[in-house]
Amino acid sequence: MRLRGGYTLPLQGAPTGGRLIPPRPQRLFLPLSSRRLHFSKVLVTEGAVVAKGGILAMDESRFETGLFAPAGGTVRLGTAGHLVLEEISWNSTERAGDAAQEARHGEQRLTNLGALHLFSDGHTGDLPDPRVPPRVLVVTTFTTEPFTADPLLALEGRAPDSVVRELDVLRQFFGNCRVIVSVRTGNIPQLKQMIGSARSCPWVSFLRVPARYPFDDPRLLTRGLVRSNGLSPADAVWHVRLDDAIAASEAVRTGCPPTSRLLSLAGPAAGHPVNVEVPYGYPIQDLLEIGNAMPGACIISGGSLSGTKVQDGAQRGVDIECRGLTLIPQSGTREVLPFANPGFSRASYSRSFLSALRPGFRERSTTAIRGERRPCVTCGFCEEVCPVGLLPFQLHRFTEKEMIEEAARLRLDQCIECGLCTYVCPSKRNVGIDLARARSRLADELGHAADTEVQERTA
Amino acid sequence: MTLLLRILDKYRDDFGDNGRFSALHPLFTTIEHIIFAPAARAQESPFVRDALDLKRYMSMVILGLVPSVAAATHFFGPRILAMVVLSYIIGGTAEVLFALIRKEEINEGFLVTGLIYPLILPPTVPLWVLAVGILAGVVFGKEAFGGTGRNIFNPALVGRLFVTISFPAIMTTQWRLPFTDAVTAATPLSVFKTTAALPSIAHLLLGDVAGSAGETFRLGIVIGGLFLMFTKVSNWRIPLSYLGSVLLLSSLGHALLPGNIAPPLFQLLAGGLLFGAMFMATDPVTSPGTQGGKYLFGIGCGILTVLIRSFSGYVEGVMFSIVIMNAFVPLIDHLVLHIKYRPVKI
Repeated sequence: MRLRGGYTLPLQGAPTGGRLIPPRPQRLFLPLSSRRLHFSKVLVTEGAVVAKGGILAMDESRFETGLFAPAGGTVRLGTAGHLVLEEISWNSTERAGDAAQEARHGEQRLTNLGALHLFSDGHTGDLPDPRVPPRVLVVTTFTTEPFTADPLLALEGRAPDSVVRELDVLRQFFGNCRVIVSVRTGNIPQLKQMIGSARSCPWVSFLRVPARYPFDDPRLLTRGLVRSNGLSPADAVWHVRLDDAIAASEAVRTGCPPTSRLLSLAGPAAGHPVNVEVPYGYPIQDLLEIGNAMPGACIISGGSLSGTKVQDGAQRGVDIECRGLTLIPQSGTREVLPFANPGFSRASYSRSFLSALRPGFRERSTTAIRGERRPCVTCGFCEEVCPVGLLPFQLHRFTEKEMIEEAARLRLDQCIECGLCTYVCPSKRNVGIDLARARSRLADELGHAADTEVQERTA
Repeated sequence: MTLLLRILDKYRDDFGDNGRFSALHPLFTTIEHIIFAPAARAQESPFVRDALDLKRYMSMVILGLVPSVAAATHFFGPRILAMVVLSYIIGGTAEVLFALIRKEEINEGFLVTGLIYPLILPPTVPLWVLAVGILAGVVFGKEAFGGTGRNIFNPALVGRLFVTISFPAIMTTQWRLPFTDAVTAATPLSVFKTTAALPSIAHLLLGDVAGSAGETFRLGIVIGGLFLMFTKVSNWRIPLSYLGSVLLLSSLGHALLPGNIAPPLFQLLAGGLLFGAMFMATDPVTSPGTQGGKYLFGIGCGILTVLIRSFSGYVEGVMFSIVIMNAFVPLIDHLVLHIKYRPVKI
């Protein structure tokens, strides 16, 4: 599969070691919104006692997806935007006696198994439509963005052929779809046995992808598959990470919603970068202590390029779609004569610093912009690095002049908002940020979703 | 250093919007940002940024030009340094004035223009001619179009063209051999045009011939150009297509018309071709943004250079060809985009 551009930031603080299971907290803070879901309808009252797996809230506008309790406990509604569980009992196995849920209990659907958020639609990147089962399920076994958790950690303590069995459960749940497992290029010993045991299964195939950011993005992989593997743009394609696939498969087999998630706690401001497996709602403050976060660091939910900032105190616990906490030090003292620095400890996409001569160099970056805002000099870095093959500088010029039609013609709708163009720009312009705003305006102008399939694809 | 920062903070308000010197605010920011990195932080994703900024970008180009400047001073004396300093002062004043009047920040683009311009002039050009030229280049070639990032033509070349056309007699009698001051010499290209004689390749490479101040030490130009391509500051497609098309055309042409068109290796090494291909045609603002467009640009420059050198009254065609192709850049980009992105059916 031909992939272009992309760049993995040489950022210090990659999580090391295996999966850590931290001590159980006293309280769980379940956020009522995550990246794609907003649980506006709360179904429990203050002081209600719920069992593990009981439904707590529902997002009515997104296929009635439910938020389920990761453990039994008493519900407290005092914290804004969160449901707090206190007096937690971790071992309860009965399900709550919610009448509506009983009615749907017999019918196994992802939404009332609490597993829909684990998947992404391959064409849009959004939540997939649970009413349309996928023709192809793409399972990703690697992560590229600094820093999000490595899905291969889910293989720890599992027999290699058990993974293939879990994928088989999912395949049958989806009505015999095809399964494509995307694997990073290079030698990965953990996967060797899995690949060996999958050889006898005709429904699974493997796809080798270079592990460069953002080649694990669902939309990029799907577009590549449409181009080169004969998938039709009308086929329903779903994406899932390996750890989420195993969690979904367990949910399908046992009927109990997933309750915990694999996260990374990493970044230059993490004194102890580590991967953890925590229940939903795990307090963020406790996580920061486990990762030994520097005081005053910028806390990002997600990766350093596409994550969102956790405002002080606004988010208290791990949401159900969180993939990791990236900790980046805030810039401190202002450097003297920065442009004259030979640059042994500064990394750049261009090779204009001496760090280019250091193989495997990782930089301790801060949130500093590192330069003044200047006019675009058409250096071409943003185009080189764009994984979709767009011309961000040209699109940026069009959006500044409000030339929406020309921007649509240059396929602004195809942007996957990876953030690399903004990262790389020497003139420090907010290229990708402005393009994201223009994209949503374009969607409004055209009157339908910006990611609608078009009949002619780009050359 | 904290003392310096405190001094700057003390006077920051005076240069602010309501301060006494608010008109000089761009000067204050420029001085502040030369000494100290800006304090701005990323507030939304991406939360880290690349270490390269435009100051460093221009510094890389200046580094690439250092072999040429050093060789020029070695061959033609410290006068070259005086030319560089004057070019920076005059052109820099024009840049600063425009930035202050426009209330925009002073951009670093001039640091490269101010260094390239004296290097493409004859080494003994009168200083007042140089001053007029850089002023014309900055004002007509850059500021009239809106400043850095918006100009169509390479400002150093516009200045060079201005003085070539305005003072033709002076410009054609200022060529000297290196290390001598007194005797007027003819450049290898003009020698070929009149007598078809060729100097040795070693002389051409190492600069033992007459020529513009910075174009003679060609080995240094190649090293500087390769350095810029390695650091990704200049795109390799343009020198490749420019030099490649000159090579191809002159090979064909020399076989067909040996009297007019010089042989390929001489064509490549003589005159300002290497300097133009490595440092001036690759200027990111005035060259096409699309990759395919860069190839077309280079090929166009190559064709024009060989034609002007061989069939026109001028002996050197590089500066004309680059400026003419600069005018075609928006059209080239438009064509490439038209072909690459077919209409979207919505």
